[in-house]
Amino acid sequence: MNEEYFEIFPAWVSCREKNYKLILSNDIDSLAACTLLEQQTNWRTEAVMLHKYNRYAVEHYDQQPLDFFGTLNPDFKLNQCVGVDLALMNGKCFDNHVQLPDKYSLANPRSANLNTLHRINCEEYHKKYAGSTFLLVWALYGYPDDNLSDDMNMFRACVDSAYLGYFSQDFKKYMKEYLVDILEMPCLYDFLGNHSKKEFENFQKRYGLKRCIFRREDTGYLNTYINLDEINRIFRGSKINLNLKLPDGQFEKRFLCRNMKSSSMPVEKNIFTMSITKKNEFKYSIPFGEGKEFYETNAA
Amino acid sequence: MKLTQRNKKLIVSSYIVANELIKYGYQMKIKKYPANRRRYIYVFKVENLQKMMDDVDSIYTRLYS
Repeated sequence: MNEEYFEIFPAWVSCREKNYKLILSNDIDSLAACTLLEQQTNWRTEAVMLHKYNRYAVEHYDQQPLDFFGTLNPDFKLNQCVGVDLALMNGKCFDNHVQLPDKYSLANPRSANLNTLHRINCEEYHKKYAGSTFLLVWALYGYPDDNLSDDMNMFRACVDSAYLGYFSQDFKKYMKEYLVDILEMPCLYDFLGNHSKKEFENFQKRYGLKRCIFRREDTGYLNTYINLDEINRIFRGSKINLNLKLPDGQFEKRFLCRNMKSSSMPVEKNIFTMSITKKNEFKYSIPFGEGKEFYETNAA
Repeated sequence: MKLTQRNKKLIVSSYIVANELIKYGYQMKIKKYPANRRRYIYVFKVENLQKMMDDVDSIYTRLYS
């Protein structure tokens, strides 16, 4: 990553020796970024935030979508944790979402997010960084951009559908600025230009990259249908040696959140995560019940 | 659960939550079956947003905690 940009990131990003706990989200972007962070730092994945965790469960058919927050250890403190691909309102996190509703709003100062650092808001949504958290972490911790095989580059482009920014008229010119000038990944940018959208879509289907991570209700262990073994085979033997695997252990429920959507800035307090996913669409989650007290007393 | 343009309407997709809101005295405007979904959605009029959200919170706590 460009050194000037590295300096504007929050200082905690370089505290590799501290024992921060990572919060995994429910997709490959978060899992891959967590794996890179675990390789580079002392931080370990000990919590999980699963959006709409009950959406496919038969017994929950008539429930509103709920977000699940679970941890491996019962004495978990929110102020020691780092959200990965989670747009936390309060606390440390890596993410790639737009969080500011307008240019006068205050941003989360501990968020390592290119959009927040550039103060991208709803009004200039087309200027956003349309890449993935995985690419951000890749660049932040100095992983190489050159001498990678086609499949490795394909994987980097397909995580969180980062290639889509290149194929969109609105985002394309900003994609070059972010990828080449800031993240310093000219090889990946050239790679995007040499392949068609269909090839990326086929790769995503082959490895199940759009599938999510879920928690088995009966055992409490995490599971996924993403083809992790095949992905690990791509990186085996290379200097990166990305070894993707789900955290081992039972995740106990700490609290549940209401999954909400709104077309304007939410008026509620105690918002745990919030992101602006379209020009005028706010998605946010709010702890309720016991979670509300836990969040109020534990918030970072 | 979704709040629409300028927080005028609240869209609920669960029958149970919609029923609870009716018990709290909220007025359901429409019950419709959108073409792209496989079940009904229930649309409520929002008058006092803050109070309604507090009520939604207590409904969630009772049903799902």
